[in-house]
Amino acid sequence: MRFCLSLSLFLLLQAPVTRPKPIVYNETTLSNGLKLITHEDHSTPVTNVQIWYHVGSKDEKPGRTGFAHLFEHLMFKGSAHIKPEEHDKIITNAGGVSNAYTQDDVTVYWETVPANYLEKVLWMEADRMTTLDVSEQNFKAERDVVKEERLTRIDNPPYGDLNELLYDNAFQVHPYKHITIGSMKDLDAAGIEDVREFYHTYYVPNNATVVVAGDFRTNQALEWMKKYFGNIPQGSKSIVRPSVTEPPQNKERRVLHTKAVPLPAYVAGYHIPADGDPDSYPLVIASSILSDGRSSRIYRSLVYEKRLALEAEASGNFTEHPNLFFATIILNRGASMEAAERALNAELSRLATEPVSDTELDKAKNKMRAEYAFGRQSVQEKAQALGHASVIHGNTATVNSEYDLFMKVGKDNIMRVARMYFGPENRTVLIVRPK
Amino acid sequence: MRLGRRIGLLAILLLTACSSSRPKPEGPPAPAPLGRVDFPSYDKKVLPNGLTVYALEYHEQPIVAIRLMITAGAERDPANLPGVAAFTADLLNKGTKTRTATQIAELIDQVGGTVEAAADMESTNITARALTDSVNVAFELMNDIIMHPAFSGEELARDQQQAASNLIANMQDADFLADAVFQRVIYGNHPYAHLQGGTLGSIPRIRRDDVVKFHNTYYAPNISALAIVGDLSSAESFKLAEQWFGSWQKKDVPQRNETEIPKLEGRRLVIVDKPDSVQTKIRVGHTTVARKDPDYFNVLVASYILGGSGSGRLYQTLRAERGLTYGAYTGIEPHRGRGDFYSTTDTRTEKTAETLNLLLDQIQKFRSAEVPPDELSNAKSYLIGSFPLNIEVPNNLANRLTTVFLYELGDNYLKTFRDRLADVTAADVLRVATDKISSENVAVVLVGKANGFTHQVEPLGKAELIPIDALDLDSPTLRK
Repeated sequence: MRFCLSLSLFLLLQAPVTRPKPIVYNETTLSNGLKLITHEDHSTPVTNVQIWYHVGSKDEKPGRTGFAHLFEHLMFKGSAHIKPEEHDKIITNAGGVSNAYTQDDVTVYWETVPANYLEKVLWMEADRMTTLDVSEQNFKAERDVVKEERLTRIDNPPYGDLNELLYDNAFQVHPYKHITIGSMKDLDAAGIEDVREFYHTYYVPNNATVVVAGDFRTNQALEWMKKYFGNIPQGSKSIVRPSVTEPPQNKERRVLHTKAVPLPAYVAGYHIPADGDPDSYPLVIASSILSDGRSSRIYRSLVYEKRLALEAEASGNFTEHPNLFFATIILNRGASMEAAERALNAELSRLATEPVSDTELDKAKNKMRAEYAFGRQSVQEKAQALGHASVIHGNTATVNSEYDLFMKVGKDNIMRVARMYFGPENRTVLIVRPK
Repeated sequence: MRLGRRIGLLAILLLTACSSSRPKPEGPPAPAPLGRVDFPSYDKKVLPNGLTVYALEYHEQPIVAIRLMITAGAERDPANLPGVAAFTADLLNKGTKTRTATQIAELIDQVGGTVEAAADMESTNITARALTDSVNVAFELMNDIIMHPAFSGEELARDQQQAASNLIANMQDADFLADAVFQRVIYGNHPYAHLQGGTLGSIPRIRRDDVVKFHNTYYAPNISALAIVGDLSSAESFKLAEQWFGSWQKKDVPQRNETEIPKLEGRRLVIVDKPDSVQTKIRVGHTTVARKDPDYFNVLVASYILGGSGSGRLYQTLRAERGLTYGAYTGIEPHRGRGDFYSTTDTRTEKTAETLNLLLDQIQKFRSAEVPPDELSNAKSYLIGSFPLNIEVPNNLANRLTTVFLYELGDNYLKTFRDRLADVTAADVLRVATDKISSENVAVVLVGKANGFTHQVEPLGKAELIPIDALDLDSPTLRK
């Protein structure tokens, strides 16, 4: 058996390394500012459509936290030709699926449908980009749904509110301070008049990107997109992006929290640069070495060898503006919080003081290589990657070009970013103990 | 209501007034018909040791998805020892005769692949994925962990500690509790009631011998299927299957015990009191037809119309119209024996009774009249039309193939199931709704802050109120 093992490793090292296939795309901008991105994929007769609106919870005005997400719900409440709740019905009756999500930076609407429905979906999206039509009654019912969503996701689950607490303490001035779902108080304060202003400011072609990936001919798709979106006028209101910069943190912040949780937890957030920053690439590779897979450093030390943690991981939340790198532990029953924190910090310092091994660096890059292949199989995943590159990076070409940046990350780079970002003064720690 | 409507109309006017400067798109032409989409062609072969092998070529990316299904899972746990199938599966990649857990992890992580094993109710699945250039590593490891697992005492102990911690955490999760209690109530002492990962009572009692015995008895090629989907020719896939699994020894596997599944008579209402809750988790349902039953498709269509999607009656009533919940759905969990038919939702504590009553009303209403033609045709067009979406990526394709194997649906199934769905009539739906769906003979499980709603649900029948600290999932009475 051992012989087989060394043989296969030998073969592996000899074999040329396969590069995942790039996503081939076409990109154009209409005169009203709407960006169009297409990717043909004829392997299955399925097409995914995504409309990316460049507005998220960081764009909310004071006293209206949660509004971007509440607004996302309202986009299903009817437009000139589509009755409330009819959007999903049309899609599911076609055998498709549709949904939407709101994040700090963007709100994205998507549909995956049998390929013959592309034109209809584009028409439906254009309809709600131009003629959204929400009644007061539907507004209120949907606001209740969102409050219920907050209860389901944040308030009821044992660890549901940790993110909210951490962000509130880690950020002082940047709007990432509040989480996307917002506060109950602000949701209650939101009214139908906010809907109009938000819609006319942000839901305009010059703030949107349409991505389609799937089984169509590019020329045909472009023709339809121009037909349905081309004559929508640009927005007349100016879009002001948040411009505050979070001041550097130079002292560790610690928050103690007592809650009805089954096991104690430790969460630390370290300030890191934005998605696409040169330092983000070594940070992603570092997180892979720290906690991707059962051979990763944190898993081996905290979960496997020392048995301190039920779960432990470290990974960055990379967004349009600088965000946080998380190190999280859910303690094993009876394990010591101090020992777990020490073991975790030992791994972070080790990354800053000694170079990672060749094997570990290769492993992290192979994982990234696999991620580029396995994470881009479906038309939805491909459209998602294109939309992210275009809207968050402002450069669609990064959908393929970032691959080389990951492959070029060197040991010295990893040490440098670990030293730069993983110091105690740069972190906010949340210690959660059971009531 | 009237006032609300008037305000609503005003708001519509305001909004449309603002929007009217924007041109309205004309409606698009109806979608062109989509040609019939077939499941991609694949090759099937049974090795001399009885292992069924499926090979399906997919060349879009240089990747391979591998799925080996052994058709024995938690259902085969010893009666008083739930969790054995799960521990057996979990321990596979935690060490073999020649490799430690760490070596296994290093080897597969190094090539960016994964090899995982987990037990389900009726099957154990060992799944791997790898880039084509390292597919040999994945096969070699799968072979090693399935044929030569070490089941070391130390790894078992570590797994037991993890599983117990995990379960303690889950026992504070209202959704987990609601599901586990619901299974117990509808399946009674039948193995389908087993908490698959084990209970706080059973986990510490599992011994190495139990795991070894499960592996010796059930891990056999003649009750297993291997699906290989990826950037390989069928010939290459079959060669790999023979190379790595050809020498796996055939075994006499004991027949499945077809124990009778109890049927609920009347309503059994169980409330788990979790005083720190701000929401109540609601489960309503009972057992239903087996996966192979001729009525399965009728029940499937019924469940879809009642609550299979955002267009379903439950979602429309509870969420879209009333804002009582973030989600309300109905589904079927299929089994080789009787599966379960469940409705699930949650709501703020004070709305518990209102939500539950509306849900039960919807079930009752569903049983009392034929579904209108458009609802029926919409349900069928979703269930049939979503087929292409479900065959897009290798992992889903592999999953479909092993599912056909598990339920013995036949080689024709993937070609013919859409025709069988198309045959479902409104009369069929009403018949199964009347005979096989109930709002009276049901389990109702509520997990939440009991003193906020118990008095409200009294009219529904006598409730069994169990404080969370007194809950025992090993006991048929659910109490310690």
